[in-house]
Amino acid sequence: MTRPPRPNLTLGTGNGRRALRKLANVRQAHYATPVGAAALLTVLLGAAVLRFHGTPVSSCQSLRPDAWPTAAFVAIVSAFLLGGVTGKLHPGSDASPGIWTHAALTLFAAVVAVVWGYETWAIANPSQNHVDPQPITFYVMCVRSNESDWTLFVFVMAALLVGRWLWHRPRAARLRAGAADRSHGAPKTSEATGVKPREEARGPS
Amino acid sequence: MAVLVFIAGNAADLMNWVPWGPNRASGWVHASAAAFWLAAAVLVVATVDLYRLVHSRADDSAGGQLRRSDGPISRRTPAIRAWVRHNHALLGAVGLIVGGVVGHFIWKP
Repeated sequence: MTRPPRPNLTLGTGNGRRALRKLANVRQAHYATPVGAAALLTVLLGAAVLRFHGTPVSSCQSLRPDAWPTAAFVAIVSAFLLGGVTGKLHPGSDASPGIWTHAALTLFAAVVAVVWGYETWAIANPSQNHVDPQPITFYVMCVRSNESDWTLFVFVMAALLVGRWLWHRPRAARLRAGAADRSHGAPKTSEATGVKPREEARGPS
Repeated sequence: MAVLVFIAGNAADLMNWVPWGPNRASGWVHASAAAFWLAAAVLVVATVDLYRLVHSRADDSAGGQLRRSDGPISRRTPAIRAWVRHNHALLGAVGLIVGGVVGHFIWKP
C-alpha cells in the first residue's frame, strides 16, 4: 500500500517541524471524520449555549421514554458501525500512540470520574422543586425530550467517533496483508508486512 | 490496582462510609457510585501509566506488566485476554447497545 505524499514543510526544526507536519496532515481524507465531527459539535455547542442560556430546568415536561427501539437507536448503532468503516481508510503506523494521546485519555478518564461523582452526589441529594442542581442524566433526558433532533445528532456523532476509534486496527490490517503476500510467495520479511518480527509473533493488539 | 480501587470504593459505599448525601442508602446511589469507582479505577491506571511514560518506562505500563506477568490470573486468562484484544470493537458495540437500553428504560433515579 502506498502512502499519500507528505506535504513539504521547511519551516521549523525538531518538535516544531513535526507539529507542523501533523497539522498539515489534517487535510488528508482519513481525518475528515474526526475533524468534521469536532467542527460540527463545536458549532452545536456554541448554538446550544446561545439558545438555552438561562433556561430553567423546571420547563422540562415529560421525561417518559418510548416503549420500543426507535429509528434513532438504529441510527446510532449504524453510526458506530460506519465509524468502523471510516477507520479503515487510514493505514496507520505501528508506533506507540505517544505521550499526548496518553495525556488526553487520562484527562478524559478524569472528566468521566468527575461526572460520575457529580451524578452520584446529585442522586444522593435530591432536589425538591427542580431548582437545585439535578443529576446529569436528568439534563440529558430533558434535552432529549425537548430537542430530540439535536440530541440524536450529537449521539450519532459520538457513536461515529467511538466506532472509528475502536475499529481502527492498522496493525491487524497489515498482518492480514502480510499473510496474503506470504501465501502468494512473497518473501517473509518485515518489509512485506511493515510489522516488526517480534510484533508478528505476538499478534495484533 | 484498578481492582483494588473498585472493590475498596464499593465496599466503603456499602458500609455508608462515603458521605454522598442524605439519600446515600438508596440503591440508585450505590449503582451510580459503582460506576464512579469504576471510572476512578480507570483514572488511577491511566495516571500511573502516564507517569511511567513520562519517565521513559513505557514497558512498565499496565498492559506490559499484564503480558509479562506469570501470576495465577495471567496464567488462567490468556485465551480471554486474546479474545478481548481481537474483539474490542464488538465489545464496544455490545456496550453501546446495553448502555442505550439501560439508560433508556432502566436508569430512573
